[in-house]
Amino acid sequence: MPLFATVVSDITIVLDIVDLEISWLNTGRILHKSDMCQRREVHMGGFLLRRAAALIPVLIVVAIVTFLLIHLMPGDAAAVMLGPEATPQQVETLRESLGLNQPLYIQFFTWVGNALQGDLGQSFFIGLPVISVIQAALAPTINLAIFAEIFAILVGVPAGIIAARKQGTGTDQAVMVGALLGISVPSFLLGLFLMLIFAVLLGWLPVAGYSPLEDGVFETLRYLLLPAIALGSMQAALIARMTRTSMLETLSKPYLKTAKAKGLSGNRIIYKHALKNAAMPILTTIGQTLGTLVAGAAVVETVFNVPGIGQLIVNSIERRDIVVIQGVILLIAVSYVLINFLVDVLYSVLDPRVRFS
Amino acid sequence: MTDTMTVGSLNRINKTYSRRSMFLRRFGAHKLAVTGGIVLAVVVLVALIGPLLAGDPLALNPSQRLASPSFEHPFGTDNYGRDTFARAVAGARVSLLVGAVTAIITSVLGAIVGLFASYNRIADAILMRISDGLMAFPAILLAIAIMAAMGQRISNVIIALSIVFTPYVARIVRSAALVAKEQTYVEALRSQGASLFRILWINIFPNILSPLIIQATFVFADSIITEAALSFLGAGVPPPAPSWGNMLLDGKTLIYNAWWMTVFPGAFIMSTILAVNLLGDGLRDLLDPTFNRRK
Amino acid sequence: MTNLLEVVDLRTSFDTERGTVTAVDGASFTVAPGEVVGIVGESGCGKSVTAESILQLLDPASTTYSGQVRFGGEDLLTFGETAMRRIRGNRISMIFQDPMSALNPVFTIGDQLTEAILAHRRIGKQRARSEATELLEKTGIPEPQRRMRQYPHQLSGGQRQRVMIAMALSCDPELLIADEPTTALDVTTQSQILKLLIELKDEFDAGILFITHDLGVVAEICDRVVVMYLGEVVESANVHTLFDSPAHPYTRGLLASTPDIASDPSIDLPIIPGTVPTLHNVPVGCRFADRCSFVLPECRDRPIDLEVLSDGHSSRCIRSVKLFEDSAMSDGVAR
Repeated sequence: MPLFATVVSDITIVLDIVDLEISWLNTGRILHKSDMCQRREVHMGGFLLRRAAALIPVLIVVAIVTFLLIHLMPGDAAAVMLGPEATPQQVETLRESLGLNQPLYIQFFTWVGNALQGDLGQSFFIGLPVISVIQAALAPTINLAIFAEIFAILVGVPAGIIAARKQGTGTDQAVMVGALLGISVPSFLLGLFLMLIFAVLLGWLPVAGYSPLEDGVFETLRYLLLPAIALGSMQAALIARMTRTSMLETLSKPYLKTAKAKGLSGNRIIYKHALKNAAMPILTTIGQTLGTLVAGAAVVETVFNVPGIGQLIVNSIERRDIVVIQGVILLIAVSYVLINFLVDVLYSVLDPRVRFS
Repeated sequence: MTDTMTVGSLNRINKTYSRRSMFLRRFGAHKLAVTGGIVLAVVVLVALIGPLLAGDPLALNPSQRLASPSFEHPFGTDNYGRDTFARAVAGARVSLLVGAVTAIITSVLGAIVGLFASYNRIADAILMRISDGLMAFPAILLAIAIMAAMGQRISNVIIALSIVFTPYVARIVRSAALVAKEQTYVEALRSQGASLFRILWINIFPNILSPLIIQATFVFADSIITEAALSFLGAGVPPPAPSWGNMLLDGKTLIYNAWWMTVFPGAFIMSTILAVNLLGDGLRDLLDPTFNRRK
Repeated sequence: MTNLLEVVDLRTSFDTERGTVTAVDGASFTVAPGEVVGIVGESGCGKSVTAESILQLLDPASTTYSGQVRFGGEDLLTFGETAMRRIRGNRISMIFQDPMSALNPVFTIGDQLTEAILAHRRIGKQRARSEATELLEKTGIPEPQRRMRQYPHQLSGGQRQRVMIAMALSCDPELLIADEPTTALDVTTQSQILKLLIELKDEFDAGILFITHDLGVVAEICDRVVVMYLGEVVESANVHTLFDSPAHPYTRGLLASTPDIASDPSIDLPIIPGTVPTLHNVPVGCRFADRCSFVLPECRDRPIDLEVLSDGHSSRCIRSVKLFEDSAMSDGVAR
């Protein structure tokens, strides 16, 4: 444990340096703001650098937390994983192959080093590398997450716009109550209810299962429609709320009065002039929820028996295959961080003023 | 010094008094929040006295397997002949217990971490990086991973949820404390040599209380949802102890035969979460004037 | 000469949480072709609301108009939204106060100009773009080709206002409403923009309704002036009459508090005492009574009517005639 403390204090020093770096870049930003147009290229570069630098400490903590999971197991991790019937010999072999006999910091650096090379370890139970186990399960989960996000955007954005345009009316209230319901019903529960109504009672859609994209998008959609609605409802609610807030703020802006004074139609003013300005916070919400969506997909999958990451996780929990779980959550957390980074970058590309937050 | 302190505390008492009456009046006007409060109170009441009336949630009754709702079994029975109503009521106890204990633990931990971070730059850098890192994991996934490592137990569920949700509370406490710290009277008190503890307790703490309470209600709701999801995935409350989540897991496998095993525990979860969210939104409107204005 | 615009007894009210307020209360004035009419007053006097009422730009959910806005022989207040859209930016266009916030930050200058042209004319996109470039050139913006591709934040304040003017002129309007178009600009740019407006007015032969709080600007470009106070027109006159023999105490106060290049900078300018009352508690009698140094008890008894003093000169003051004579004798207090 003292060794671990050293590692932590080393990391803190690194973090402080990064912090300094960030604050230095921050000052640069203020200096540049006045003559932004001339120095846009410089700016974009600095901005990306600053954002990228801020990722490092987060990724380090993500790595530490993921790594420590195996040590959260009560007693001897190898013994727990193998169960009570295992012989001491088997336990020792597994312990050796997991590297658990080595000092903690060496374990950590070995693990990080391997992870950076794409090696997330070996699943003891399946006998395959974790990375290929995950790869095999990835497609359904990603398809589900994408379908859900599309559903959420198609429902959330228009609902938010309508609510903002009719602020204070019954329509507005209906949208807001709907959004509250969407936030209050957990996705797996909504999934069960949808399954009960549309699959069991009405028989319109398959109860469970999955059809890969290669066999036709329509089939995939048939299987993933209910899961996508179940999963996307909460995002739809969050997006609707954010769209409403952002639109309300934009609708009072003077340039919309200019647009009206030009003689443009109400729809053109709302959907072209207002929406593009209101888009940034909406985009952030979408980006932020995308990571949660992948995690949520794992839960909803188990409702509908979609053979994705969620099934993998549930099976791994039963088997206490912690190595697979480590791999999965590391991958999802890292992609979550990267998605947010990309959203930030997209932000600055979309907004000509290069707004920095 | 003593004089000013007395006047100060007098002012504070008056303020608290008028604030409280105003709070109650405005709360009364907030119909949705009141509805939420009433629904939550009913769920709590059911959880407290229900088990005394509903019977044993674990009692097997092989002759009464998968009975549909009737006078004897208002919510029907499950595949072991256990009474679904008794199990849902007992599940309410588990869910509310997990939610409440997690909310309390995260509030205390979050307040400590957040206050500490607001007072020490180095601690701030470390603690906030750690919380950033923890918040990079989707909540449910981190909870699953921790449960998979530690094993299924109610106490482990609470520990896992506390690890997951403390950073969110700490963040909010920290920013509220930083704002309060900037206020001039805190500067004045410091220059007068008031002790750090006294400043924290008398001047900073009241300022972080509102955001803390609001956040605690949302942690309460999220904990109940997450616990249900964990149990549904087989990583939460271990059977045969009933929880809404593991009841839904049983219900799912029998969704063709026994809709009541899904609908009733589901309705319990939905109404509880909706009630807590309504209450939380209402509290936020009442306690956080800045948020109110932004809306 | 037939008038281009005739505003008759215009009344604009808003529903607010604290009840209905009437921001413009019975305003009447006219604008002839080629004429520049100024509306002057302090902030909150209803001059901007008057301007936006003409085009019905205010939030339709909470605004009620009454009276008449006669334009081209028709009353615009009877027009529906679709009919109004054909007027806005086409036959009547508008320039706003702050050119930064009046241009949409996320579209290029070219997009916004072309859009204004295409909203009313059936021409190809390419032609619209080349016309937009020409318009920019007419307003004196250097390198119009490059500006077309730029975003509002990349232009200076004066250039942005030139863009607004180009946009306003894009469909060859009969009437141009300029709402404090120079307030947000520095002095040099201000006079350039004013000069440009006059030049373009002559070229396009349009009437201009010029909203401002700055009497210096009025003296520079207006033919006639309407002075507003708390939603009412208090005086209306030819620009020379107004400056030489102001009839309403409020106008006199405004003139006296306007800095003059010739005056001694060491002497403090007189200011009108007090502040404008809010629209929620409008006085029964003369609305200016509380701030007026000529006030009589009867001023507060009942609403004061607009009184015609001479041809084209009217004032809402029971002492107008007396004051009018005084100021004529002393050759204008302010000047």
